[in-house]
Amino acid sequence: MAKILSVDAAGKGLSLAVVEGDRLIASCCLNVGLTHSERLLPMLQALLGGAGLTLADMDLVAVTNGPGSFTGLRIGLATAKGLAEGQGLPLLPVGTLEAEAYAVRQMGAFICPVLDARRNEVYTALYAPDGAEIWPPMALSLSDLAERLREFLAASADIKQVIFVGDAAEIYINQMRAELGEACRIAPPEKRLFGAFGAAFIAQERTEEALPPERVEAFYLRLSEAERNRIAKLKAEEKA
Amino acid sequence: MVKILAIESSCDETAAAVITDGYKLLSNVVATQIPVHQLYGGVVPEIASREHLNSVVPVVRHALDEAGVKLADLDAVAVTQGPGLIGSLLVGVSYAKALAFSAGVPLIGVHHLEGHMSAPFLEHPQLTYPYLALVVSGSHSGVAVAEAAGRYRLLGQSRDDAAGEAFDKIARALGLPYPGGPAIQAAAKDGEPIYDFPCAWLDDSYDFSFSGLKSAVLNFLNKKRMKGEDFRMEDVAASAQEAIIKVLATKAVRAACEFGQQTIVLAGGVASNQALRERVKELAPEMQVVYPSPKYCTDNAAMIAAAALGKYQRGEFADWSLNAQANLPLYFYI
Repeated sequence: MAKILSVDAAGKGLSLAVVEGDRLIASCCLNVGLTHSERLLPMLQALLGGAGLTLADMDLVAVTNGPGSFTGLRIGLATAKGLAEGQGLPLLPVGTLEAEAYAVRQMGAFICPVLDARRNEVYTALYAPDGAEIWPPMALSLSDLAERLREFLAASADIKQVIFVGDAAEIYINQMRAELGEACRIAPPEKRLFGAFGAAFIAQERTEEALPPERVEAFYLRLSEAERNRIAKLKAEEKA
Repeated sequence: MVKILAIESSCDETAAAVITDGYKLLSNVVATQIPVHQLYGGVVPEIASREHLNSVVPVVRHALDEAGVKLADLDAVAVTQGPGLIGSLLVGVSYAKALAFSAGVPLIGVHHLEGHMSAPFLEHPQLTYPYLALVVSGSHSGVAVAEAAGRYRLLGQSRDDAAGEAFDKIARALGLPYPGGPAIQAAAKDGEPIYDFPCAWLDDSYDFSFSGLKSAVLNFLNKKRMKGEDFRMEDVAASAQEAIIKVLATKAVRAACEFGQQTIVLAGGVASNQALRERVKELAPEMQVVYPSPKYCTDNAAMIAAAALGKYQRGEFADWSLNAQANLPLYFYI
């Protein structure tokens, strides 16, 4: 059984967890604003110290690799790569949305993680109550997401509820309730922001997918603005 | 023998180097992103950050392999803390911290400009303090007295565009590629400085201002094009270069005289401009003028390693909360 350290810095919350099999050995969560770069390593040092562990005890490092805040993703990934490389450990990327969805599995509702994507959009996806992916990760406006969910729930035979999780859940829950009514639930605060638990337990099921640290990439879901503008310009020129 | 790994990622170069006593480099690796940014005519911060994340592991590994040094053999891991592009800095800082933590090695945070000012030691280890430093790059222009390692007295700095930034923007207006410095230098060789572009002297101050020059060149080009008048791009390049280096060289030499310095150190990417080097020597024939080879002028990790060597000897280590800072002030005192 592998001992796994997981890191999630992709959104507003910052979380770390150490798991082995189905046992959660240690964890630490912060929701104190975007200071991940300053707090991550001191928090890890305290966590390992408290648990009487060192990085040398780990078999694998897991990290949420997106989508999410571009900067947050890079802090998490660069840190996880450094931790893995320093011990010669493999690194396993886990999607941010599925890691967040893990926290509210088996609650009798479809799971809809929503992360702030700026530009009036959220990064989102949809999972079955057991965690199986229904919609892949995408960036959607709130109204498009509501529309899609309305159609989806109308077609669903038995389960009629969806539970929101992620750092945009509390921002948009009232708006979603206005659109979808009683079908909407929100994850409790302790399960809303912290992807490290899900990332660690999902990694446990996929240890054979671990990679050398240099091969792990961020899953941004969006191009940079400069690339989008350049592509739009090239397309416009092509038409003209 | 002390062995320090240094990582630099403040702009568009992912770099790593290993140094030992006597400023002896064991390796020096730079992965440049210039071809990527050339598509956009300048550095795109988000793209730079993404490239750093993909390059940092192989670049650091390459530097260690080439030096024949294992992580466990290191005495410290040093990293550029700032100033620079925040997204780019964060990749290097996060990686360096985690690597050092994981390998059980102390951490050193280095100011990018202290790196530039330490670069001459790589090739001139006999260089001694104090000296007058002119630091000119794509994001910084400053004049300082380096009184001792880690002790710099700032005399003046850019109030708007840095010298290298002025080169980049003028090059863009002239249809020359990024980075603008080398492109303008090459074009200027075939031109004559026949146009009198304005120099911002800012009275007795050692500050710089280059945004007025950039506007003057843009206005000049607009007028010529509107009137349909011919001009040689090479002459414009030579004239713009002259306006930049005249101010830089004059102020550096004036500062050296005023503060009784015998040595002038030119550092930063713009210090690889040949005309600037020659002008400083011309204006100060009695002084020692020291500048690094071009590979140590543009961003590199060797210079960060050189600065880290001094910080290691002085026992200046960082803790695990070290953060990247886009506008990190130098321990410059005024």
